[in-house]
Amino acid sequence: MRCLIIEDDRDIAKLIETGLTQAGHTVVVCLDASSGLDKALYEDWDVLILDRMLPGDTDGLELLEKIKARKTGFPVIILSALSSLDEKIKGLRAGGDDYLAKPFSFDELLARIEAITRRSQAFQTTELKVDDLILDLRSRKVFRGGNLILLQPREFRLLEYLARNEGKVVTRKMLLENVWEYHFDPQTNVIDVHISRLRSKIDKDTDFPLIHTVRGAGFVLKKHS
Amino acid sequence: MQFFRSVLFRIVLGYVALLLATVTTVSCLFYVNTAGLLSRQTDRQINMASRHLIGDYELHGEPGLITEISRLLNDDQDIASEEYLLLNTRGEKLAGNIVSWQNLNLTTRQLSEAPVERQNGYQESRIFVHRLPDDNVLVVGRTLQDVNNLRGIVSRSIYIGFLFAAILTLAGSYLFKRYLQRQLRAIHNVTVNVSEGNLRKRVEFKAGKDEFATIASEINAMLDKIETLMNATRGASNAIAHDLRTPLGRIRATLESALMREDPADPLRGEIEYALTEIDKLLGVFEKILQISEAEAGIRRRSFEPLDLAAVAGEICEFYEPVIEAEGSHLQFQASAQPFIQGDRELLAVVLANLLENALKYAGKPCKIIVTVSSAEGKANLSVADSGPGIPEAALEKITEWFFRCDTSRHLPGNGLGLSIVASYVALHEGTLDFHNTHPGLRVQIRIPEA
Repeated sequence: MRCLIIEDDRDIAKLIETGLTQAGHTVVVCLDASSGLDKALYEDWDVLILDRMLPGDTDGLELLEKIKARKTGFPVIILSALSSLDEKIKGLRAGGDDYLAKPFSFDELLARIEAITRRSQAFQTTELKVDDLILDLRSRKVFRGGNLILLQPREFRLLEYLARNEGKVVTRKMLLENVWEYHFDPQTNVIDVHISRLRSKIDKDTDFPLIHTVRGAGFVLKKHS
Repeated sequence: MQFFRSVLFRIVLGYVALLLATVTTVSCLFYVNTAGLLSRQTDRQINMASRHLIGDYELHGEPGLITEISRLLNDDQDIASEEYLLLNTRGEKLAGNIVSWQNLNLTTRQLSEAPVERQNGYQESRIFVHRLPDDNVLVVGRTLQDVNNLRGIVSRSIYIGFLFAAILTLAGSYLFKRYLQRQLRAIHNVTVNVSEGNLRKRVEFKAGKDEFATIASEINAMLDKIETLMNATRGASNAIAHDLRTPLGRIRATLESALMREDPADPLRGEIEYALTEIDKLLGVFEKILQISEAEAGIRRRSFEPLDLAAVAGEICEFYEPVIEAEGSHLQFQASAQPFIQGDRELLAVVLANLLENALKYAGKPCKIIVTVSSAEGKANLSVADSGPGIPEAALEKITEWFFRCDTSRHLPGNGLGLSIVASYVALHEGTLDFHNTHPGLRVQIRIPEA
């Protein structure tokens, strides 16, 4: 995957570069807005990682609008020291696909990049399938190995989100934002308990669990094998 | 009893007592100088008449005295008030207008008061009894009718005056008390407001140089100073949080990069991971400080919209119920009404999430947590009650202060900012936040005006 990073803070840029390179991606870093604009417009990218505060008081959102006006088709993740929900909404309106407040952990960024780049299952589909787990999105029913599993509405949304991101790590923060639509930071392991409840229904009495915990990062729903 | 504790009441009471004492003194003086004067004059008249008659007796003997008494009684002067009686040694009346003397004490040699019978009845009188050298008895008297009339008039005037004085004093002291109370209440309202955190309040006062105006302007100056200091403190903590976040973020990024490059078996990994955890804790504190100052600046209010408080509370309870059950505790949610408020869903979620996490952390296990939403008097009520040990009474007032932690909870993870955030978010919603020990347990009560 070709990743473009427009970020003036060398340490942050370095972290993203190291991490993404290790994950097997190609990375180009631009430290200012004008070179970033050139790179974004004249080369092809799979994802753009854009800092909001760029040198010379350039607002990353303005840069994003300039880029989007001439070129679309690649997802953008915005990084910002402005952490409030207002700013986040502003960033998404300006054309960002996700918004991450600084400072962040690389795992959080990586999970979000993966989530917005490789949508493994199309959104228009009416059925999600992972091994012998089937989610019927119209009737909102779940089957594992042909057996109907009864889920609460929220559990269904949780499982749906995991299934849509099949094979990719989703962080606790992403789950809270996408399943419950809240952005705060719970001080307890509340998400873990929800996952373990779901797991007890989905992976009960099976030798091939689908939901896995990724230490320090989050959870992943993936095929056995 | 509460009256006596009021300084105002004591001042007013003193004022009333002083005024009535003054009126009493003035009345006494007035009485002595009017009715008293008249009665002294009566005594003088009796003495003069006595001397005159005794002089006549010495010059002209008994017949002269009888003639003089008759003349005095018929000269049209003071005949209503003057009283004379001349008795011979056998007790027979020789002259005078006193009809009966059986009741008179004729042995006394002093001025005395006695009822004297005349043709038109008894008269309260002052008399002087003289025993003449030939053992005849001469009684000279004056009725006290005029004196008594005057006494009556004076006493009545004094009573009426006293009554008026009492009414005026009471009315005056009431007005005085009300004036003082109004002035004091203006100051009281401001100090209460300020102690509740509304630092913008100032004492209103009329331009002038009276003591209240002076105190009011001094209090206002003091509040200005406090506000400046508070803003400086907040500004400083805000700037620290903001400015330290970026370098800390860089340190974090550098450590994380190092972690990626390092050999998984490197013994330094543990230290780096520990440093990252600690940096994240610190960043969490900064984040909270910034959230509080953002709330206090009121910027977030722009995104307020009508919200179903019961729906938000229900969602958060549903979100926390599994973790609470997993800890062996129990969460119950009850909504007896569906009040709508102007608010921010995210911030209200943070408020309830903080309270639930506190209950889970401090109420002990297993505990019972009850969240209720209700509506009363135009206010939406959200309360979180737990069955834990509550909070020491002495700490109740301080628990929303920045970084405050109870002695009993210092060993638990946390930074003492959770309730500060709750307080600032509730204030942003123009709500009130109260903590009650319910023995056992703690009940946190939030009231927000309904939309």
